[in-house]
Amino acid sequence: MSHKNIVWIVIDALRADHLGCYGYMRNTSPTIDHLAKQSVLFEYAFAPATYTVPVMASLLTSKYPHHQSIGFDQSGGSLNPNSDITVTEALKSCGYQCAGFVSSMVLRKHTHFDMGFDVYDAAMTKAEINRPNELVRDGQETRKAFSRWLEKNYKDEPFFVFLHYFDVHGPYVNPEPFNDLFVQDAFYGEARYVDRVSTDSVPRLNHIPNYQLLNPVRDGEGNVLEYEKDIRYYIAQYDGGISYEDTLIRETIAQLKELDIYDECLIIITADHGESLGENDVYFFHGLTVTPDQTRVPLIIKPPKELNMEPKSVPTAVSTIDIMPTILDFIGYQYDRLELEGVSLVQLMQTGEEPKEREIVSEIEGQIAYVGEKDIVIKPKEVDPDHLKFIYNKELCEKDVKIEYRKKTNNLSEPEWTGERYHPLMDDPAINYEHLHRYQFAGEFVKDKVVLDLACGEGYGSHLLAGNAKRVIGIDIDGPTIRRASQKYFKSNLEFIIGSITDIPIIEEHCFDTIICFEALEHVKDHDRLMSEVKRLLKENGLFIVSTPDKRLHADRPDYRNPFHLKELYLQELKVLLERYFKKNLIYGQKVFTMSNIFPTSGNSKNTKEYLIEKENKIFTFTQKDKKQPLYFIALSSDAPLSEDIADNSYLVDISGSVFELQRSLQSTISQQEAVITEYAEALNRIYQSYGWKALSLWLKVRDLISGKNRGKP
Amino acid sequence: MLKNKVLSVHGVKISLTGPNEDDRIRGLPLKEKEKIAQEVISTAISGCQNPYVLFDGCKESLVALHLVRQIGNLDLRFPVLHIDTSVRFKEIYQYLDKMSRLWRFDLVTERNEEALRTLKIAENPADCCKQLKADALAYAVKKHHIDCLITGARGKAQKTGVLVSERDDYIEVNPLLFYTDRDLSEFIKTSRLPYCSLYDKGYRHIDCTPCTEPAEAPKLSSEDRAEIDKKLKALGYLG
Repeated sequence: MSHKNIVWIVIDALRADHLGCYGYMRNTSPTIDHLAKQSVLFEYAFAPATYTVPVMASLLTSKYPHHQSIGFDQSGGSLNPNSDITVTEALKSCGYQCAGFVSSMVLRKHTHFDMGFDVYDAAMTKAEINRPNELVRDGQETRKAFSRWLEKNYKDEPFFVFLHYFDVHGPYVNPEPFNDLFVQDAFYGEARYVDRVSTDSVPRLNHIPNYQLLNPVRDGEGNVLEYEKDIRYYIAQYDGGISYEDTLIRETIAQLKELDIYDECLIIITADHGESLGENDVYFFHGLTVTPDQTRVPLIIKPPKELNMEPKSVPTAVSTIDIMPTILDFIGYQYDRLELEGVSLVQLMQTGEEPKEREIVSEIEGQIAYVGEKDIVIKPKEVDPDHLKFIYNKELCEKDVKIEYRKKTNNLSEPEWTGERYHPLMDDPAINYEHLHRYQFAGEFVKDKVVLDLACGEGYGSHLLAGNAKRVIGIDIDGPTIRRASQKYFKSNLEFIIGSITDIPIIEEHCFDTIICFEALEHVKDHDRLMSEVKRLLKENGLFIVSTPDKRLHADRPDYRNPFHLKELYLQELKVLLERYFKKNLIYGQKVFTMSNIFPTSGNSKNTKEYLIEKENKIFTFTQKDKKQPLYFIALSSDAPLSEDIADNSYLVDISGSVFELQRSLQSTISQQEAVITEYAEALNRIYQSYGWKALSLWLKVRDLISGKNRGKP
Repeated sequence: MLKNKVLSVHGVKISLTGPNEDDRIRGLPLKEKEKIAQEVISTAISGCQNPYVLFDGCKESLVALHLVRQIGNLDLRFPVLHIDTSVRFKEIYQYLDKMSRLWRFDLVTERNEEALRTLKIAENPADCCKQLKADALAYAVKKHHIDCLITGARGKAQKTGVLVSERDDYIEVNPLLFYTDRDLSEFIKTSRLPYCSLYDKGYRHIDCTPCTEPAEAPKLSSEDRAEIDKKLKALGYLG
């Protein structure tokens, strides 16, 4: 058995799609996003139910609510110490020290969630603003309690820590500055209001439940006089709560790192359930339906470093009841006797092998959702109104529903082509050749280096570099682009940050071996500011690789002004600029040519011969080398000596022949269009030759003569 | 070999097979008693081919079982025997099943089927116990060729009993001989061992249902009571 330290964090009511690493538009979760890049992120993880106590019971036992003792009972239920087996007890039986720190009174000891824990800290510190009897604990207090425990115990037996945070859960009241973080921001959107309030026990559609009211003003008897009605405000505060939680996770990770136990720690971040933020006209509630707004939760698992698991994003649908068998599998506990309903995800994380076929469901008393490969099928359940354990809304539960859950509902869809930002899916092969070749070329210089990729855009280039480099940071000014990049490209040595390349948000100086800046110089007016930032961050004798189009060929000759380019350079200007900052500069040229490659079948040749051809008067003829002129320059600059042969000629060969494919496709389109034109021309000719047309033409001429229309014309 | 075996703990001599009348033994700290118990188990089983642990779901046998696990580095290397009278609490049956799954052991259950067909349960408690427990155990020992049985026995045996008693066919090992009620509770609490919930309902000893006094449910669990006492003490109320 392999005893690893385990930290399992459950954030109450956190939807997956409001985290950056799940594609959210707001920068709510930089720490979790960063952690996700060293982890396996499950894109579609579903909760077994949609309110806390049943879900927690299911998470701790890996049994669906029907098969653990709490079932759907939110307030009076408890696990049965004689029959239920929790993950904590299993870990305890292997010698783990187990500590739980929770932040809501619903998880207090009467639930028996404390089974197996050496320490189960359920001490609440405050009441909710609209429900004085509901006791909770601020996340920072929970974190501190954990932190104190960790400080004392981390050196002893391996530990299992269960951390439950409640700060995302409504009412969305956040400490400063999180109470103002997203209010009136760029994503605030159009105003939308809900101006009706429902009670908490009978929530209604298009109403805000009483317990969620923000900024309420009440009379002496507790009746609400005023409250916030703007939906945008509530969602901004919900997101603010996520940011607050993110800082707590940052502090937790910092402590684990400080104690030097982070790398080998198994860290799991998930949520008990999601939250409706207006879906199906449900405002700020959960537990009412099993639609994805309430069931789809984040699941991020950072494996211990020594297992060498590649970080990745997994599209397979999973359930959060899979967490318990996954933990037990990680430590080598044979759990077959426990008859768990979840399955271990370790194999899926390690090799991509799908778990055995099983049914994933999310369920409440009145509704059940079956999660299929693409769709979620939701069906009503028969309920016994006299024995309901939680709120039931017939209107929401009575219909059969089918939801295509993999359809992108996030705010971050693929960007539209603006004519400027490169995307690897672009059709034009020439543009692909240019960009890919540049990064491939740069890849030769980054082996085991720490690299900064300026204006990394979509992130494909940084990802390519990360294959060779020790560490790569891609930076771009466009937030959504960076968040998409973070979501799309996973490597443990790759990180994306938002920032301007003329004011780079990295405080440490001289920390990069190589800085790359492809096709960004021309987008900057103040080149010296960019170069100063490069010099500030580049190590002594580090290498700067920059590319920019040649103004002569790119702008002057075609008489074209790219509206996105603020300052293009001629070769001489580029030389002067680079020489002001670097002692040695080598400038290469780049252009896409149509080429054939003859190469030895035995391997790579060290000596490459190059033959240039040119098409003149429809005939290709061999031509002189000086006629090969670049469209782009690529410079290598450094204060260290640079040998001329540091980089030889290099070729990018498209073995799929996309240029010709494109040509064939265009030719085919043209041929088809020509055929249509010919068909129309023939039809027109037949009309001109017909007696009817001739008679009509004659009649028109006679009419014009009579009316005198053409009189005076030659 | 075991006959002359004597352990020495803090200057106190402890005989494995003879009576131990030195009162200092009972006053030893729990950690020392734990060491003695483990030493007793290790020594007793070292010469045996087929040791079993007796487990009836009560606190005593739970602690004995856990001590055996500790010797095996939390891995139970021996089969676990349950003598079933068939009239035990449903909570106990649930709990036995849970423990066998959680601690991953095969629970070997034996009953005196013959007696269960003819006997009037609890009419004559002494006879009932003899037939359903002692006879069933003797049958099980023979059936499974048990040569060493580790039990959680304490009680009356504390003064006069022996740690290892040689029977006709097997040796009986009683590692908890020196454990008091308090020791047991403390051991279970500090080791966070899962115990049957009947204890939280006020039962002190759990036997078969006809012979176990119903318990009055405590208004507070012992843990909550201890917590309240601690707070009151901090406030000066309990001195």
